[in-house]
Amino acid sequence: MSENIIQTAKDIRKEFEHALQASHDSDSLEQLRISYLGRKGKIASLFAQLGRISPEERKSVGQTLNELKQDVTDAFQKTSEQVLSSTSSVEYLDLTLPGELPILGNHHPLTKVFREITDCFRSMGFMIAQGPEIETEYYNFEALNIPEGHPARDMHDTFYVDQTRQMVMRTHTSPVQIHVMENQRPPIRIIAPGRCYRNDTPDATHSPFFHQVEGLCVDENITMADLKGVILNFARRMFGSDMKIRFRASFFPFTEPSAEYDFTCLICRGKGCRVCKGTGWIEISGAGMVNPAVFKYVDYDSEKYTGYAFGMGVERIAMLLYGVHDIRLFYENDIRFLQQF
Amino acid sequence: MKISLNWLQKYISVQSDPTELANQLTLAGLEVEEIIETGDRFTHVVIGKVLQKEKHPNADKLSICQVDTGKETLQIVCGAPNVEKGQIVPVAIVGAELPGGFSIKPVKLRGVDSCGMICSSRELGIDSHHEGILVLDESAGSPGDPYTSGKLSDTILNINVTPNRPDCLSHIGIAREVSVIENTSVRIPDISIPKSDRPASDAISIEIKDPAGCPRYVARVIKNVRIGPSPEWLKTALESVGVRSINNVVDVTNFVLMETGHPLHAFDYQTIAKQRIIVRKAHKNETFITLDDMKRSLTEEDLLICDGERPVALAGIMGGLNSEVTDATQTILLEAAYFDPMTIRRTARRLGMSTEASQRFERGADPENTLFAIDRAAQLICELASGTVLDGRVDVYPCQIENQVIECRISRIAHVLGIAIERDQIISILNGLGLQVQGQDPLLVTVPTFRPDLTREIDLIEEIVRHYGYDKIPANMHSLLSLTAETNASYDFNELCRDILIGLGFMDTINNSLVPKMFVEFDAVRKTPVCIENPLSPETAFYRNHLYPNLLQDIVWNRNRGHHNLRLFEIARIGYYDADNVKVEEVRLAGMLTGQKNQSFWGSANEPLSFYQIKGFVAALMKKLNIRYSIKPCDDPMYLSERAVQMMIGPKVAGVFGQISADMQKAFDLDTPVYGFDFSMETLFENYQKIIQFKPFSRFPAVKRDLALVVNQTTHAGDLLQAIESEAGEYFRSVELFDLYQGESLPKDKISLAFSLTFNSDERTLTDKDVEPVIGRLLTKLDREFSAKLRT
Repeated sequence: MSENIIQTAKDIRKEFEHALQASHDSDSLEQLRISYLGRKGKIASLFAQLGRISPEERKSVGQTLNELKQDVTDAFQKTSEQVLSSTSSVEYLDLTLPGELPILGNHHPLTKVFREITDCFRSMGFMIAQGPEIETEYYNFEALNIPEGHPARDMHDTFYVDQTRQMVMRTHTSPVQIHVMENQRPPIRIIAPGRCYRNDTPDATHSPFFHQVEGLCVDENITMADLKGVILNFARRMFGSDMKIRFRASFFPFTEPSAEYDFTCLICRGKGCRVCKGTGWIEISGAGMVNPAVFKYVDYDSEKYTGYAFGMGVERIAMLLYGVHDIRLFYENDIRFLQQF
Repeated sequence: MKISLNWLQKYISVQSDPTELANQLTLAGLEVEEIIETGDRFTHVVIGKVLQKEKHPNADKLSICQVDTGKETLQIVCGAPNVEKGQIVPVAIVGAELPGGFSIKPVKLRGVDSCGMICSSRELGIDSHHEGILVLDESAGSPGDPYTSGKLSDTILNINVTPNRPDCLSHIGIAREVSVIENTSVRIPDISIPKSDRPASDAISIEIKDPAGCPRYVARVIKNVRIGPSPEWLKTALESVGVRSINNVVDVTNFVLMETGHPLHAFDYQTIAKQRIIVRKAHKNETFITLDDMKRSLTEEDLLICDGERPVALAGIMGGLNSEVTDATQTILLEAAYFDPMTIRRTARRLGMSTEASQRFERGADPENTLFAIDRAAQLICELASGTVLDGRVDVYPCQIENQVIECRISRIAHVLGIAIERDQIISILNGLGLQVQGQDPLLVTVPTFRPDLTREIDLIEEIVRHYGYDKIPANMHSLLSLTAETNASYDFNELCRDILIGLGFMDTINNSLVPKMFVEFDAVRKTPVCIENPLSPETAFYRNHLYPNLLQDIVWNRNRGHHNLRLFEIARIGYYDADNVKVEEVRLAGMLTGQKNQSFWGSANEPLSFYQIKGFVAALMKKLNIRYSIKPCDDPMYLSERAVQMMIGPKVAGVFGQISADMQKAFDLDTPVYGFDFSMETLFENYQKIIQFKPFSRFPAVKRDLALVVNQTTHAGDLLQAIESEAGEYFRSVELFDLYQGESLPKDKISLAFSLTFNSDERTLTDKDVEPVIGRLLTKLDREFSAKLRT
């Protein structure tokens, strides 16, 4: 007899668990409560059978039934709380309605590239230097070993500001080199980010107004191998550890030996594609060892000190990095453009 | 500079294929910008005859042609304007491969089948003409015959020669570079000129009146010349490097120019008065008509070649119309001179002339090369125009230019490059470039006159590494850092401000600093604009003296594209002349906002911006920067009157903000109000305290008291706030204005301002007893000073 009751108790427990899982609203829960926990419910009817078993067994069977009643009550309570809290007492919300968006500001893509470049060189011990955008011809040309009448002045289509004062819009950030060397003795390790101006007809890849970052390092025993090291390190940090660099001989009046430097093509990673015209390389900019003629202008002993300088076009790097094909987009400040960075 | 590989082969046997050669030249500093394949590099091109031509039904510029190609008649859609019925033309049939990897397949052009292409000479790679298809004559063959242009195939390298290398503006110069790359030698052509009975010095005398401008002048005379067309090889050679064939004599001078790099000039000897050449500076206001029939006004710095009576050439730049070689010319006076680079450059620049000759003279020609060049030209004229060369050259060389000897320390090479190069290799490279090397260490290097760019040890080091290979220099990834590198605090401050504004929802913009006149006029009275003397266009003729106009332009740009709610800022330099006419450049921070307060949102109505939003943004920026400031209403032409305030930091004006003036709005055709702020970054930076001093706050609860005060409408809330702050006693911590009421329950000219005051003590919990007396004092004071009454 007692075994029958215990078996039934087990069955009821199992049955209840299934029924409870299937009850998702208050109506079905109430049904469930009546049929299990009600005065005439299944558990009450089991208790009613207690009287028919022997007093010796009654204690243990009674304990089993009490446990059943307690567990069922707890489980029911828990579920009904959950069901109630999820429905009736809370106001309805359409959770798919859009949230209230704050107005978002954004960094200009050139600002982002400037920061990546400056962060990279700062971590290599370079400090930031700046100079005026309206320069004297002395700083923009002469002290950089581009004297009046030098054919290299043709390489710079210069905007003249004031002929009588010999002022120009700086055509590169290189004049900052001279300002820094005039005010400081070696060791020097600077980068100079800034705006430059050239009398270039604007098109998809040229702008009369653009940005450069200039680098200069002067100390004892600085060699071209150090220059290559810094450029390689920059390439790898900026574009990935698989980057390679290539130096090609070139000519700049303020460096000698001079080089143009190339990076592994960012698009094809060196395999050859349309962007790199199949060469696997993309031209970045110029670099070289500081020409002793420049040291003469700032009164540095070129026997004692050597140095390197390099430059890079910020727009060019940004265009490669972000896949921007028209340089003019950088200056239109169309928010559909700015929002993307 | 265009270099023909066929031509180059005269001086050197090039081993590598064109692509590899181009790569090697590029690495050595002679950047090959373009490799152009010319001549017959096509297959499946046949002679065809246009049988019929009709207009394409769907395209104005296309015609549908039926072309007889021997075996079959093909329908070809042709876009050339010059195609006509009956023409004999080259036809690329299906399967043809044309230069540039272009292959012919059957296609549909605007819905019409086209089975082949009628070619232009450019498409066939014969030359660069592209004014339509190539029309042949009957002698070319009959339909179906394979077509050949009869031209030798050639590869042209277009080399960007840097301004320091005048010697490389020639085939022999490039051959010399190639010889070092390929470790071979250069063959210079032998010259032999038949003897004649009369010396040239009988026919011409030369006088140099300006030896500084013309250190050397060499002449030869060639008589009995028959002017006529050049032979094919010469025409082909010149055309391959982009020079038009004129006649045999002119072509020879151009050929020698492209061969040796030395510019020559041929005069018609009969036009040279008194058999004299005089080299002198031009007189003031002298004029001269150059070969291109342009009258040139000269100055005393220009150098002229004159005969016994008048100028006959603008030295080193262009000959004169009066002494030009014509079909009737019988005797030639050949000139090979060396002119001072600066003199030529100055004149060429001033006159806006750039010729093959001037480009070379201004970079530095070779005074020694004059002899070879003039002999080479004389020999060729003799051969090709059957002339007789008078004996000898007339060579006036008042200022001898010596070869330079430069010392080069082997240790210095490693000191600069960071890698040691073997002595033998150094010498081999220098010798290959035509430099003589003597001595052990330092090396004594004799530099020939064709390398005017080599004057110092460092120049030689560059030559060595150029051919040693930049790729062989290791990249040194180790460095001993100097630990004293300073940070640039003002640069970092700019970036901090940028980040704060972006956090406040502003877009970081970058605008062109070169602007139209209209942009600089708004603030021109205070900031005299900086004008560009040679602007690209009136749109970029000034350096901006204010950041606002660009931002307004950005607002217009975006508004025209449907974006009306904008918050923009820029941190950039402006420039102007101050009251003392001194050039000033300063970094400014300017921002603008327009449109609605918030992003549009379904849950609430949007409101337009007001003055108090910009004031709030300024307050937020200053709070983030931890800069204390005050404001002072001001009159400023950039702003609406009574809608502008100065931001004062101590006694200094850090900038102005407010609502943009109607004039400026109108100038940019903007109706919606725009609010702007414009600050001096220098002033902000001076007052920025990077290091923050922590102030402990009380552990005890604060007491709050709200006061609603009724005051006259004209009472300034700022004055009330200031009065409260100064009078609220030791426990006062802060005051906030939380309501402004004006309406029915108040008299018409009154407003109610509600303040919430916070009191606190560091030692204990405050009670009413502590605060009530303060409130009483405050009310008395506010009543006395502002007639402020508690609202009941």
